[in-house]
Amino acid sequence: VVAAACAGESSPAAADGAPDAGVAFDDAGLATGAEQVVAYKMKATLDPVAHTVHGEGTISFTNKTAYTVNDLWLHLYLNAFKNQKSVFVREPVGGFRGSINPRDWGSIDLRKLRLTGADEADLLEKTEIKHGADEDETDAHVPLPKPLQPGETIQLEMVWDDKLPSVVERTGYEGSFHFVGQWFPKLARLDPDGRWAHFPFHHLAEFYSDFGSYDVTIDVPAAYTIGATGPATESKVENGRRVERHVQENIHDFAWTAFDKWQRLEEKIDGVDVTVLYPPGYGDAARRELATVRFAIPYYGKRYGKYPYPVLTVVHPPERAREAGGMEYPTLITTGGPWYGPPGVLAIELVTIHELGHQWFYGMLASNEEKWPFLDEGLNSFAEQEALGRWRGPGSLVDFLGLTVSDATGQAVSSFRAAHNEPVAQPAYAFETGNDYGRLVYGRTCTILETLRRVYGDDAMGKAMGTYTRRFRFKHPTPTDFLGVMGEVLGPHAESMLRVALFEKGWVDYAVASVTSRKAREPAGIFDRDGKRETVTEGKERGGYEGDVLVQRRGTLSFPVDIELTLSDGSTRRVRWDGEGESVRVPYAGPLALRGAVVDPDHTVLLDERPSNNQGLAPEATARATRTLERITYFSQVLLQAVAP
Amino acid sequence: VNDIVAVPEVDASPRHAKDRLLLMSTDAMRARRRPLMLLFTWMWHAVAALAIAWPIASFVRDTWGHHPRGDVLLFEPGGLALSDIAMRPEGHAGLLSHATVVLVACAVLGLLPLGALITALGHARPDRGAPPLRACFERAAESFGAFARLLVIMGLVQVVVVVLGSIAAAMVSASLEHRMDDAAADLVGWFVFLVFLLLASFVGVVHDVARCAAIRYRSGALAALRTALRAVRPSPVGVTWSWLWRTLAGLVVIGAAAFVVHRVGVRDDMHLAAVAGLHQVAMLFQTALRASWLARAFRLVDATNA
Repeated sequence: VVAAACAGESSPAAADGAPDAGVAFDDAGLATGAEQVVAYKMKATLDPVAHTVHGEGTISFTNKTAYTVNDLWLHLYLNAFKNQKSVFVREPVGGFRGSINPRDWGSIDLRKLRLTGADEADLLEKTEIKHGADEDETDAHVPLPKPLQPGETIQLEMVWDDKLPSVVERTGYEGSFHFVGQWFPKLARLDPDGRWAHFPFHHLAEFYSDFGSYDVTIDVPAAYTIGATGPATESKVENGRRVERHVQENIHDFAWTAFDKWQRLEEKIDGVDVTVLYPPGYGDAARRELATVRFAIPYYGKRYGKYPYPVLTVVHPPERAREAGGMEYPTLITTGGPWYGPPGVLAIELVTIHELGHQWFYGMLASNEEKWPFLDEGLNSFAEQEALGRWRGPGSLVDFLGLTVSDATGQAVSSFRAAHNEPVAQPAYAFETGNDYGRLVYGRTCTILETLRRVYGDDAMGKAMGTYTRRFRFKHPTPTDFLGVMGEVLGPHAESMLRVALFEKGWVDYAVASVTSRKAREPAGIFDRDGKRETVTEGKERGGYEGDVLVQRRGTLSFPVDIELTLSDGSTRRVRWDGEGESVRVPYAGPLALRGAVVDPDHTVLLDERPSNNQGLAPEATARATRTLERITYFSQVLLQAVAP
Repeated sequence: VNDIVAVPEVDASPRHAKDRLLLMSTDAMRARRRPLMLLFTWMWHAVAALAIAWPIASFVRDTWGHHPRGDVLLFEPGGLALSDIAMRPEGHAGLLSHATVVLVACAVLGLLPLGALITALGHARPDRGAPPLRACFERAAESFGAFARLLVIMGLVQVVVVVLGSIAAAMVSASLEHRMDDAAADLVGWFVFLVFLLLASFVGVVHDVARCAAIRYRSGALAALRTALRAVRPSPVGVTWSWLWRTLAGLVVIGAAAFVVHRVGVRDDMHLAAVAGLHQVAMLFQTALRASWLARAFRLVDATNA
């Protein structure tokens, strides 16, 4: 009722169906695969009563760098939930997502770690899981008995046991629902400089790994349905157990789920077998998710390069396991939200398209998320809002009875609150609060890039982003790579602004400082004419009006903007300002009085941190909020009828 | 007005004879016979709402109202200005506290026009015309203490019922989560809450009937409450339905108004005036429905011995 009382007017209709992506690429030479550095072959056996996974398998690792390697680093991420001495629990950052202490703790215990082949050796004994006084057990150091030369391959044989935590930070169990992520001993990535990019499981950080192949056999009770990374190449039920083998190349992680209540929707979309797994009662949400994927796979494919995998699995966890939702793994994403999500609030679509977008940024680009989280979450948030805006119009976040709020607006307004706190481009663990992390990495990056899109145009920005995602597909790009492509396509000014905005807390505020308008007159004063002194107290009217508009720019960023002058009859005329310098004075002369002026009337500079000062009136004009008065009065009447009839 | 039968004179000492209030026959107590009182009640709500809205609109005028087209940006698709003004905390605390204070003050002061409306619904002048406003307010003032006590008592009961309903619904949902799927567990929980909500609504219905009893019999809060319970006891469902269908009709009217505004839009000042007019028609209709229910409640207590 309140919303109905507040509701406004019609908004432009949302785009119908999958629209054109705006920019075309020749994808004939698009990379179809990554350099295969690792090969995992594993078997996982789930005990859904004890909530344990017994794992066995091998990792093949090839040293693709030019440097000799003397050791390995293995991530044992599940130990983040082992006790309160893990880095994950110790880090005093709240305010972003997830709980910190699970209701039921989890762990991963390495039972066997052997080097196989000619140099066979037991590696477990010398493996250092803890480091000095630090009792975190998520980042294990494994000295090698013999240096690994460039180009050489080794194979590790492993046995391990997982105790899954109650659902926490994207993994765990809730009743018979199991989501199994970060569950196996996982090699850190060996960067091209020969150094291991290894790190403990931070509360805010995500992951970074080498590409390779995963061949995983999952063994669960027969009553359970499995969803997993990659296509199922074998599937059988025997002795009361369901066994599925999933194989996928060109990926860098593997996750799976098992639940005895999964229901499913299936559809082939743009050549991809899409499966939505959802609990009973969530059919509407699942259909909305499928509709989102139906739009997004071809759209993202055109914009950022074709989706290269044969399958995509969308997992909607039950509401009581909601912490497992909103996460990405190769070819598998988790969404979330209650089963009754109102259609006017596009939370389900937003989460789905966001997690799907990660397939391109986290999945195929695979930048170091611990060190540069904005390269994944930030760029993906931009892609998400751009796609949602293209699909659903100005109501891409909320669209209810004429009240529309776009995802871009949500990201911008959220990010304003942290714009001056910390730089965007910094490691995940360096953020002082989870709120800053969320608002800056997601919201601020999105707002910066959306500003570039609006200022330089959708074609140029589409070309820049598409060039970046294609050129660095499967190549682990860094911020330098990203800025380089932006500069190459959008120009050095855009690159410079991007660098300042990302690394130096760049900001901008345009404001209309003053508007003057008066009747045009001959000059007054004392004049010496024809040998005589003449005093003119008030100049003769010349007809028409004159005045000026003073526009100021504050902050360290600058973008070209329009300045719109509005005349007394409501007509407008626009003047372009390059945005350089701290201010500009726009002169006016014309037959009508100047009523007011607006800088950046189309809101191209979404980064403008105080858009409410972008307009000004001439002294004769009066500020008005009649429509607000009418709407709030009506709302108050409805409220009074309800509470004080 | 021939069917208005003045029965026992209940107002013995008015200042002017023409202002004396006579009780109407039960069947003659109808909201449609008091159009001016309905207008007055609607105006009271409009003025009170304006008192709440004015500072908020002034705040908007001072922040976003300097656009050459006024506060148009707040209603633009995409919601940038609307979100900006909602998310910036400057000035919000003051506006919120003002709105709360005015709302509470209106809730208390509103007992007077409410009492006057109830009086007008059940009474007439000796010449069988509508009772004068001043006399209605004098009667309302006499019952103000009873109305205030009823407001506190019944308001608290309603809050307790709703809170208990929320807790019960959450507990029921949680206890069923592992035995049935989320949707079914939620639906059962919502049903539990709906039962409590209906119970709270029933408390509100009794509250209104008690208000009518306080006017009708000039009784205190507790006596009026006892009369109301006696009046409702024979047919609690029927009485609640009398209130409910009018409330639902009011909601339909608000929804319809919102839909029409949504379709028509507000492109200029003419449209804005039309929208304002439509909204006020909707509120007038709401007021009429409310008065219709109060007349029904008055008839109910009139037929019940105090």
